[in-house]
Amino acid sequence: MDNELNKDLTPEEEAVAAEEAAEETVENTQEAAAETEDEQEAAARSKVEAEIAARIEKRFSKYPDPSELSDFAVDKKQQTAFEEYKDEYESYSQLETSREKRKAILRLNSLYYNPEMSPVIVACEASKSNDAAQKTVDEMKKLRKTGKIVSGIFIAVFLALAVIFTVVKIVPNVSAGGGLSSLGFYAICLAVYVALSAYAAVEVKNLFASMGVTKAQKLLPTLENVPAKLESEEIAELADPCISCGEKPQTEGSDYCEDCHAKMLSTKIPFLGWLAGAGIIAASVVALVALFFTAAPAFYGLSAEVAAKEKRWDDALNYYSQMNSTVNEFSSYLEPDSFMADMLKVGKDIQVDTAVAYANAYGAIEAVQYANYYLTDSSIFETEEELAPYMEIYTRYYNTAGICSGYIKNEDADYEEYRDALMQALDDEGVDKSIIYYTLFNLASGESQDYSVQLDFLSKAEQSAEENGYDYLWLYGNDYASTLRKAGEYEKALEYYDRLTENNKNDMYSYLGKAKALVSLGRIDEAEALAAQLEKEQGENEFSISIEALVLRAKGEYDLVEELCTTAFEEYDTSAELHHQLALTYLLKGDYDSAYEHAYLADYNGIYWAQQGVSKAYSYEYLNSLFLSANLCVKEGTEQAQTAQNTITELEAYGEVQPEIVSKIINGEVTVEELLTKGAYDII
Amino acid sequence: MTVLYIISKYLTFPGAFLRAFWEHLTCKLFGIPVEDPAYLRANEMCGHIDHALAKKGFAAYTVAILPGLMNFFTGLPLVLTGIINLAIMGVSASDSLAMFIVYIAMTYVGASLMCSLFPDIETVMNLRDVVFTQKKSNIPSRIVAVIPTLIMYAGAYLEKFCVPFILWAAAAIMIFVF
Repeated sequence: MDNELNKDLTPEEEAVAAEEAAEETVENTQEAAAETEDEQEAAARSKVEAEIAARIEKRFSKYPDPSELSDFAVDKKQQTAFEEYKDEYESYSQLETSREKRKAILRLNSLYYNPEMSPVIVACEASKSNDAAQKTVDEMKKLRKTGKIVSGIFIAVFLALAVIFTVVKIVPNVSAGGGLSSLGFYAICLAVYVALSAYAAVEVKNLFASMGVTKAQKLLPTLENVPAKLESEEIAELADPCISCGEKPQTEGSDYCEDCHAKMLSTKIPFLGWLAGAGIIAASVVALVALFFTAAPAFYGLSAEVAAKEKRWDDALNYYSQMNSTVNEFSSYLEPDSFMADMLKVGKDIQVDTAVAYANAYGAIEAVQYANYYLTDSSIFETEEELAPYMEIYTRYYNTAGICSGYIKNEDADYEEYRDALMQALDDEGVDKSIIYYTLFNLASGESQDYSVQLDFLSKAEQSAEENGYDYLWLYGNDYASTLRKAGEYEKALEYYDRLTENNKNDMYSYLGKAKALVSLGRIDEAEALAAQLEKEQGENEFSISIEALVLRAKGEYDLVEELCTTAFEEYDTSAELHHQLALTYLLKGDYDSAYEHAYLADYNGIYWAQQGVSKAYSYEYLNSLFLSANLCVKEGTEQAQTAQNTITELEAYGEVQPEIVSKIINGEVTVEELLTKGAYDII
Repeated sequence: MTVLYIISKYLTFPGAFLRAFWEHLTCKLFGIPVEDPAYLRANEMCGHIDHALAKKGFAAYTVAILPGLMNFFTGLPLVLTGIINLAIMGVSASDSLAMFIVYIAMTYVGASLMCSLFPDIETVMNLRDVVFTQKKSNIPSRIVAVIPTLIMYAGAYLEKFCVPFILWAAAAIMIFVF
C-alpha cells in the first residue's frame, strides 16, 4: 500500500519518507523496550513487596495469640500491659498497607517486651510444662508472698506507732481541753502519717513484685517458643526513613536517623543567646527590687490620680503626701546617689499634680506658701506652666496687700480706720478689688458686725471677681455660705454649699454646713439622706456621724445622739464637731455640766485643728456654745460652776465677746429649746 | 498575615529572640533534636525554633509552656517598673534623662517579652495530641494541664494574628498619650 502511494513521489521525497519511516520504527522499538523495562521494574517491585509482606507476616505469626495469655495476667499492671498488647494484635488484621503493618510490628514488639508482660508470658510457658518457666513462676510467687508479709509488717508497725501517738499525744490533749484547733492539727498529722505509711507499704510490696518481673525478663530469651526481640538491623528494615535526610532509617522513638538525631542534638546555643538570657534575668532582678520599693508609692499615686479625677482633692493631697513620704522613707535605706536611689524618685509631673491638689483643697495662696514645706521642688509654681494661674492669683494677692499696707498709716488702727484705709485702696489701680472686699469682710466678721454688713462685702467681692473673670469661690465661698446660713438665708446658702462640694467632693465642712441649713429649713429627711450619701461615697467619718447626730437631735432622739457620739469618740476623739453636737444635746437634756465639758473640748479641738492648718476646722459656733453652757452652769450652780466661771473670765480676758443670745437665755427671754430646735439662731 | 506577624516580631525582637533562646534551652534539657536553631527569621517561625516534636507528656508540656513562662516572669517586673515610674511616679526626661531612658527601655523590653509568650501552633497541637489524645501522662497531670493548654492554644492563635502586639501598642498609647 505504502509503495503504491509512493509511486508518484520524487527521489528527494522518497528519501525523506524513508527517513521518517526509519525514525518511526526506532521510536516504536524504544517504546516497546521502555514498556518492557517498566513491566520488569513493576514485577521486581511487587516481588520485593511480596517478600517484605511475607517477612512481616512471618514475623507477626511468631507473636502468641492474646487468648493464650489472657488467663495469666494476675495483677492490674500486667492486665494493663496485656490489654495494650491485645489491642495492637487484634488491630493488625485490619491493616492494609505494608507500611502500616511494618509500624504495627514495631509497636507489637515493643508491647510484647514490656517488662510487665514478661511474667504473663513466663506463666503461659509454665502451663505448657516448661520446667524452667515453672521454676521462675514459683520464685515469682514466693517473692510476691514475701512482699505481702513484709508490707503487712510495715503496716502493723506504722499502725502501732499511730496508736501510741494517739494515746500519748492526742488523748491527753483532748482530756486537758486542748481545743479544737490543736485536735484538728493532730488529726491532720495523723491522716498524713497514715497516708504516707500506706504508700510506703504498697511500695514495699511492689518492690518484691518487681524483683519477680526482673527474673521473668531474664528468662524470656531462653524460652524456645518466645519470638526473639527485634535486632537493630531488623528494626532498621521495618522503620521509615529519616524525615531530615530521607535516606537512613529512623531510630527507635525518633523521626530522625541516628546521624541526623545526633547532629540535631549537638546544635549549639549561640553566645548571644546566653548573653541575652543572663542579661534579661539580671535586668528583671533589678526591676523586681525597684518594683518592691515603688509598689507602695505607686499605689498611693494611682489612688491620688483617681481621687483627683473625682475631685476628691483632700484625698488626692493625702495620697500624694503619703506617696512622697514613702519614697523619702525608702530612700533613707538606700545608699545616696546609688543606682537604686536614682530609681526611687518622684517625678516633676507628680510635684505639679500635688501642687494642683493643694491649690484645689486649700486655695492658691496656701498652695504657693506651703510649697516649701510639702514639695521637693519649692520653685515649681514659678517654673511650671500648668501652675501659672495659681501663681498669678498669688502675685495679685500680694500686690494688693502691698498697696493696701501703704494706705494704713497707723499700725494700732481700730476697725473703722482699717476699713476706711481699705476703702481708699479700692480706687488704686493695680489692686484686686475682690481681695480687698474679702479682707473687709474678715474685719467685719472679727468685729462681729451685723451680717448684712458682712454679706455686703462678700457680695461685692463676688461681683468684682465676676467682672474680672476670676473664679474666687475658693477664697470667699465657704465664708459666704456660712454667713448666709447664720443670717438665715438658708436657700441661698445651700446654693453656695452645692457649688463648693461640686468643686471639692472632700469639702466636709461644706457638707456639714449644708446639713445644718437643711435642718434649719426643716428638711430633716434631706439632711439624713446627705449623711447616708456621704457614708456611702466616702465611708463613715466624723462628719457623716456629726450630720447623723444633728439629724437625731433635730428629731428629739437625745439618747441616741449620746450613744452615737460616745461610740464615735472611740475613733474620732479629737473631732470638734462631734463634741459640739453632744454639747448641744446635753444642753437640751438639761445636763449643763456635761454640755460644758463637751463644749470646752469642741472649742479646744477646733483651735487645735485650725493651728494644724485646717482653717475651716474652727467655728465661732463652738465658742458661743461654750459661753452658753458655762453661763448655764454658773446660773444653776452645778458642780462645774466654778470651773465654768474661770473659763468665762479667761475667754473674756482674751478679748472674746459673749453673743447677745446668751444673755437672752440667761435672762429667760429665749429658751434653750427655742434656740436649738427652731433654727432661728446661729449656734445650732 | 505572615508579613504582619514578622513585622510585629521584628519590632519586638528582644522578646522574640529570648523566647526562641528559652525554647532552645528547654529542647537541650529534654534532649529534643533541634532542626533549625535560627532565632529570628523572616517566616512564620520567627521567634520560635524548628525542633522535633516531643514524644513524652512532660516534655511536650514543658517545651510548650516554659519559654513563655520565662518571658513572662522576666518581662513582668520590667514592664511594671517601667510603666509605674513613667506613668504613675511621673518620671520625665527633665527629671533625669538617664533614668528616663532606662525606664523607656524597661517598658519596651518588658512589653516585647510579653508579646512572645505562647508556643507555635504545631508545638501546642503536639501537646494536645501527646497529653490528651495519646494520654501519655497520668490523670492528675492531665487535669493540671487542661487550663494551661487551653490558654496556650488560644494564645498561639492570638500571637499568630499579632493580637498581643496590637494590645500592648494600644495599652502604651492609652497609658502614655491619654
